[in-house]
Amino acid sequence: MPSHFLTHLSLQEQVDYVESCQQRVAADTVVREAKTTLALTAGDFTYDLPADLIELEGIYNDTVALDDLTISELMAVLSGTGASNYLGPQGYAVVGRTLYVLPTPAAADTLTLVYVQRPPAFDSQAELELDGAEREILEALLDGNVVFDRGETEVGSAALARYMVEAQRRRAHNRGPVGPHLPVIGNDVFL
Amino acid sequence: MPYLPAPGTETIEPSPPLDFLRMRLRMSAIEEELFDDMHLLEHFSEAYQRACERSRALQAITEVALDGSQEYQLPPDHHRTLSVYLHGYELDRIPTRNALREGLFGYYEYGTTIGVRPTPPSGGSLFLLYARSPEMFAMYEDVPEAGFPPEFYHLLVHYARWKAATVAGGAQRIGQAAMEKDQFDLGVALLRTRNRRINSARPARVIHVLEHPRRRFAGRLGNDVDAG
Repeated sequence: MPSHFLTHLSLQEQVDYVESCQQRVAADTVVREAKTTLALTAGDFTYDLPADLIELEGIYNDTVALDDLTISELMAVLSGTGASNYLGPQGYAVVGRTLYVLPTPAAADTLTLVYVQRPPAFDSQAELELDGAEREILEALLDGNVVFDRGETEVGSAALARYMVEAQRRRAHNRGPVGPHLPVIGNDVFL
Repeated sequence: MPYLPAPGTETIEPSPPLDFLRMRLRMSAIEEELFDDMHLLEHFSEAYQRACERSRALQAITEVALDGSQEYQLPPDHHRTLSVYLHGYELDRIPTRNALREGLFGYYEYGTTIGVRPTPPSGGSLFLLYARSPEMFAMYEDVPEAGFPPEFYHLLVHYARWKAATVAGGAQRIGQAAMEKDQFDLGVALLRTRNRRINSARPARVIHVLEHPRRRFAGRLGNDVDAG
C-alpha cells in the first residue's frame, strides 16, 4: 500500500513522486547491481557509459579485472605517449560520462561492466523495483517529501534527515564487507 | 500488482522532471503572484548551474593543438580548470600576476584565455581537464545532463524555495530559507562526493612522489627550473 500522504494527490502527481523517490533511493542505497557487455572497436579508446549507470564497480576482460586508473594517470598518458602506446596492463578511467580504455584496442574485443543500475521509469501500472528495507525507506522518503512540499518544513526536514541516516546504513549494508582496498602505510606501502 | 491503486487501464508515465518540480513548488511554498513560471525556470537554471559548478559534476578533457603561440582560448563551456598536461607532465598554475616574469614553467589563466610558459613550440597538444558549466534551461521540457542525475533533481526545488522564502521575508520564512539552503548545500556536497567516486578521481593507489608525472619545483625562480 502506498503512503497515505499520496492519496490526496492526483494519479499523475503520485506517479511523479514515486518515480523521483525510487530513483533517489536506488542511487543512495546502491541496491541494484547489473552486468553488461561493452563492445570495443579497434582504434577507439573512448566509449559512452551505459545510460542507466549510477556507479561503476569494475570492468573485466574475460576474468581479468582492468586496472582502475586515476585521471592524473590518464592525462599523463594522453598527453605523453598517447593512448595507443600505453605500455601498462589494460586499464580504464572515467571522466564525466566517458569511459577511456587504455591502451587503444588494436582489435575488436568485449569487456564486461559491473555497475550499480538505475531502475526503469516508474508508471501507474508498475510495481516498485525496490523491496524490503529499501521499500520502507522509499515510503519514508515519499512521506518526507510530500510533508515538506505542503509547507511543514520542520517535520519534513526531520523526515529527510532520518531518511539520510537510513539510506547511508543501507548503502553500507549493500556495499558489503569487502570494499575497495585502500593501501595502508607501513603495511601495504613500503616507503 | 501495481503499486498505485490506479483506476482504469490507462498507463500514466512520469512528467518531464522540471514540470514535476514546478508542481512541488506550487503545492505550498511559492505563490504564482510572487514567482511566475518563467521566474521559476530561471531559479531552476541557476540552481542547476550552481550545483554543477560547485560540485564539478560535469567534467571533460579537451585537447588544444599548439601552434607556437603562448595563449589559447578556453572552451566556451569552461568553468574551472582542474589540471593541465603537456608532454606527459602536469603543469603547475602560475598566478596571473606573475605570468609575464621570466624563467617560469607552467600555465596561467585570465578571462577565457589560457597561457603556457615558456611558449611551447608548434606541434603536439595541451591536454586540459576542466569542470564544465551546463546550458541553462530554455523550457520546462528540458532535461538536465546525465552528469546531474535524477537523484539530485530535488536540489532545484530546495534552491527555488530558498530564494522564494528569502524574497518573501518574515521571521518564519527566514527560518525556512535557512533549512532549504542547508538541504541544497548538503546535496551539492553529496553530488561532489558521488562524482569523485564515478570519475576516476579517487585515490586508487598510492603513488610514490618520484613516479608522479609532475615537474617538481616547477614555477620557482632559480636553478631548479628546467626552462628547456
